[in-house]
Amino acid sequence: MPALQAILARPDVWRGQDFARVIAEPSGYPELDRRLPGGGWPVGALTELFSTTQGIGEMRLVLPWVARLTQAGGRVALIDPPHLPYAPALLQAGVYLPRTVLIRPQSEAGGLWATEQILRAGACGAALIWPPKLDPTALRRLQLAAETGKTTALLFRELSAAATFSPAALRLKLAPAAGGGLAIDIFKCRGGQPAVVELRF
Amino acid sequence: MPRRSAGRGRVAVLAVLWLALHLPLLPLEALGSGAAHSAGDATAVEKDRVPCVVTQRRGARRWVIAAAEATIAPGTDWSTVQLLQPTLRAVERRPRAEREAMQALAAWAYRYGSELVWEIAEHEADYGVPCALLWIEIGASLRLYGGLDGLLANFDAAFGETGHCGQRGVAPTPEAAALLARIGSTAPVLERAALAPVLGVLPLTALALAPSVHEALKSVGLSRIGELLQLPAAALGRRHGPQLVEHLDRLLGRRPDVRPRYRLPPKYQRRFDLLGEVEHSEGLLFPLQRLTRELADYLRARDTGLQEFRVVLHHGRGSGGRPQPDTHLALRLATPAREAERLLRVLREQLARQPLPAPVRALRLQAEQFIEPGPGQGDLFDSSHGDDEAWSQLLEKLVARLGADAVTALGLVADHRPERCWQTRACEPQMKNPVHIPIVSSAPAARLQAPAPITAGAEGAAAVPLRRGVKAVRQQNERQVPAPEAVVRAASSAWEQDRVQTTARPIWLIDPPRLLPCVPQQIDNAERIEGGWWDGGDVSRDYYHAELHGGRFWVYQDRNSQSWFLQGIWA
Repeated sequence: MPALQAILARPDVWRGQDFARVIAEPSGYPELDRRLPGGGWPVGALTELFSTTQGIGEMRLVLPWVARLTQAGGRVALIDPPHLPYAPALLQAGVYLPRTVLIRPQSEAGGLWATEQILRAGACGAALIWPPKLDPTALRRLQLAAETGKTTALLFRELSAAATFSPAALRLKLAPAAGGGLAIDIFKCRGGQPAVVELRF
Repeated sequence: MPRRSAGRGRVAVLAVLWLALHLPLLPLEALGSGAAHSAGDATAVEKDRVPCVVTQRRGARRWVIAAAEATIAPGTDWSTVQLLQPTLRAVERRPRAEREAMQALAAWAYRYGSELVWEIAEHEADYGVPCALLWIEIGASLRLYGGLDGLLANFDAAFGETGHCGQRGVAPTPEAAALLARIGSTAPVLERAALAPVLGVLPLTALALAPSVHEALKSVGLSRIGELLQLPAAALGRRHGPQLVEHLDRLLGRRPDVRPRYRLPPKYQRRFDLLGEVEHSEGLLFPLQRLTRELADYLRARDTGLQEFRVVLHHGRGSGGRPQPDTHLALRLATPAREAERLLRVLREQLARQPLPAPVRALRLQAEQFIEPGPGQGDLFDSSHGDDEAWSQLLEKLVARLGADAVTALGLVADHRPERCWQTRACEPQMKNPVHIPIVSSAPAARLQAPAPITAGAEGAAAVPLRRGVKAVRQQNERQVPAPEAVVRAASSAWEQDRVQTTARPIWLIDPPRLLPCVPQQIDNAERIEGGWWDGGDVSRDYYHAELHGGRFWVYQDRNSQSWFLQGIWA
């Protein structure tokens, strides 16, 4: 028995139970949360959402979580969205508007700088990011910044970028499903298993 | 029963005690080249590295008043110095810069006492070398710093960081303290009675007297101050004038020494001339660091803070020889502050935003409006305080770099027209408690009480002629959100709560609306919006949901022109 304790005390012995310890925020969709490690969007990490087009329900996917966060006193940053986030619709979704921050940078470099600052500062609980083309170095920087600031960062990216490597903790492919729902393909998931989920709104 | 005597043994006699600071190199330090021998000056221009001396001229004579090298005594003629060290560069004295440096130092010294006096005297006895002195009354602050030793240790450490070079003297009278500072005697004299024995052994030349008086005293055979003090005052006054007696009386505290106290100016302005021209903004950071530190000292002395300040960059002549207009930088902080690091950080981001249009010759830092910063203490159980701090600092960093337009919060406007019922507003730096933010209204108040917009949604279906595709929109709306009561909680006013109950709105707004080339197919959910007759922006539209390529869009038909527009995307 002491021999076993000695072995377990060694730092290079890996035991499976550390695997699933992921801190996450519930997304507000139980059928999705069941599939995600920690039960939601990972805190202090990047989550990438890939889709071919805008407007297939990607905002409906994240808004319940954003609404809960802002009502609980957190802030959400919307960084360089493709269109204007419409305030009445956000309010209807339950988002407390004074705690929203809309960042519309003039340049790509400025946007990336602002993203890193926001993720690193940890003053915003959530960041929804529509980044320009990102190379692995930039992604790693953002991932490190999110880890430092314990920020939940969601990146909305082109589907073509899904093939390249990324340090993100969670990577999802979104596609419209029959009947107005959303088909979510969880193809990378740190601390969990890949899965496919279909949501109905 | 004996009553306890109140405060016996603790009656602190607040004896007056002056700390005098003598700054022999002030003319040099005021030029900014004093920075040359302090650490961290990697960015200074190469020209600044040439050793230089400060000179003054009167008539044909030009003499050195301050030199970094100890080999050159102040008061030496410039021509002599040139013969000895031909590589030296002479810079003309800048009295205004010296005065501003003294003011900055006085603001710094406020932490040691509220009674401050400073002067830049030009005694003939010193060969025309100005003598910069700063007096601080420290007797009242001794307990704050835990006694004289604690105060002096604190003073020496903090003074070393100012980049100035000086000597201090401590004595019960200003004149004696100045004398000790000038000769470099750091041992403090605490009592008036001890002054005469301590000063008595010093040579007569330590006294700041006119050269003729010095000559006369020397010819009488006196060499020490003690010998002078033994002579009868009446005879001294008759022989050498009443000024000598007055001077000795002030020295020993036998006569009151009233000097005008220095008061901090109500507005802050500081000009800083650079020795050379600086072409890159990195080169400005060192002088700016010094200026922000001085500003922080000023703010601390006045016990206030600021939210806005300005930096003006004075340029030299541009490439074409034309004078370049000054660059004005307006800086804004998210919350009132007085810390030098925060001021400098905002300045650095602002400077990084744009390149310098021309080389900079001088800087000016101005601040006119002061706001007391909020007390920096939080609730014992309130964890959001640190967040607020981090947030306000993040916010001012973002605003400084990206501009105020690029960093905004979203808000609502009481208007029926979709493109006008939202707005961006400046972000709140602090959000301790949910603040009740008033709804901005574009329409006259009375009219807002008028019937709601004519909608053909759930409520107004019967009243409106539009019949096609009327559906219970509200039910669909509620499925999107987790809990209706949570949504109402997000709305900070009754008007917003009312807003939540109306028909669904798309997440993305296309602004301005895009003209559609053809009539969209598969339209649904009609809603009529009319309004804006009160401000000339009259609209009359029928809104529909349309489906296209798997996405859902919000389109409308203008009822006047009959053309179709795309205004929103459901996402």
